[in-house]
Amino acid sequence: MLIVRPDGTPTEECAKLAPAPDATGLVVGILDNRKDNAGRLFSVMQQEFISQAAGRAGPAFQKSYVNIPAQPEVIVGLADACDLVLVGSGD
Amino acid sequence: MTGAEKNSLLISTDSTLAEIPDGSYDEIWEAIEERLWGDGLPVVPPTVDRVRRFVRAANRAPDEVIGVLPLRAGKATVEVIAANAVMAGCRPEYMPVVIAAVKAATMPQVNLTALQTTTHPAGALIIVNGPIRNQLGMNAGAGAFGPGNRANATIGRALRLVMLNVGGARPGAGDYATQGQPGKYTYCVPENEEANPWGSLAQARGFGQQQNTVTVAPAESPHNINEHVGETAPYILENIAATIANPGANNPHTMIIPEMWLFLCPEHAEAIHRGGFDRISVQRFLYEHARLRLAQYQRGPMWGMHDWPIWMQGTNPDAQLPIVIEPDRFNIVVLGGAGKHSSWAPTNGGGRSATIAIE
Repeated sequence: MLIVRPDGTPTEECAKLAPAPDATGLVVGILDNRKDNAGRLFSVMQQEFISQAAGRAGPAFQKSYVNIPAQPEVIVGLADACDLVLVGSGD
Repeated sequence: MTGAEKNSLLISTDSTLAEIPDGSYDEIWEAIEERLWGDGLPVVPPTVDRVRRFVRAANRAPDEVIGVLPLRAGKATVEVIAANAVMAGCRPEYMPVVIAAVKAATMPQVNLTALQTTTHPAGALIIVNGPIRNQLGMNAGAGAFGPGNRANATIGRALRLVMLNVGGARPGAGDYATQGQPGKYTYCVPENEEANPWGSLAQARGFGQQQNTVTVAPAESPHNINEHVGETAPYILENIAATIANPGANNPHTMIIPEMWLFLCPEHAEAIHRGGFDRISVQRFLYEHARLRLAQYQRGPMWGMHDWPIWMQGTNPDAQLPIVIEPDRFNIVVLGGAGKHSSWAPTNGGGRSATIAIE
């Protein structure tokens, strides 16, 4: 039986993952989404990158509001300053 | 299969077809489930012939992109929406409503990324206004939230299948709702406009009485408001206010964004109207009476998780603070049949509703 796939096709620009970086020596930033443990979790992870992969601490930002995306200038600032940004804690 | 062969089967050449075993219905359903294209309930197989009929009923180009859905940035074309509507059990004539619902869900204020991913139990609430409600035989009366009406049930299910299949947010893998809720299978009602003394939700949002519209909102399941003895408007509204001032809801703790849904039963609406209240005065009453103490906010579930308005940062723990930022954040819909049960639904706090015309 021939059926029409119900999932469609993803847009090309969003369908590709960025290549996984070599973690050595990266500048690691933080975007704290204000979930309760996000800041603590990301701080620990940042320290792990620094101690285990000779990383460097990049800037850390807090979102002003937990439920809505960060301001575009925050995203741009992190992208300019960091090689890797820790984001998206659900707790 | 060549492009020409595809074109002979479908109206669009962009569709991706899949071959599944042509066996018993059980085998077909299993094959669809194995590909993670279902919602756990039986589906109607989206055969080429069925999808073609639905696309024709939509009277739109099959490859028109109605929206791009997070998380996988899937393109919801008319044809793909048709496939999901078929699976949901829709009739072809429901397509204009389903298409409008998908379009509304992707409006920026709905914040579909948050709705798809949140740990909160938000469903995609659909409210239909206009003559199309009756033309499709939708149920705005007794038991409107369900079960029992095919249009109510399958239009809501079609949007959810699009969110699952095109958006790719499945429970535990993209959809991280801690518990979810039954309204995430389907959540669609038409307003009982004939029983609304103040004009419909769509009219309150600037549409004409004869315009067909769809509203999509991130919303929890409806919560009961039992009020059997009140005969005056203030008595009824005070009990409503006391019920919806709920410290466990997301709304008050995400003050800036949210709105609140109030589904008044016809008998409550009539009694409140008889008491001289119009829509704005109902909203104002609820704004002034549905309040939480500052201490409840400060001991609440989200204190410190974002920047609060300066006027909430007082020192008197007994200060009575509103649960939405402005009175017009109370959306009033009349719904249901005989009886004295209204309901309300808080939102996830991360998005607001969108109302658009059905084309």
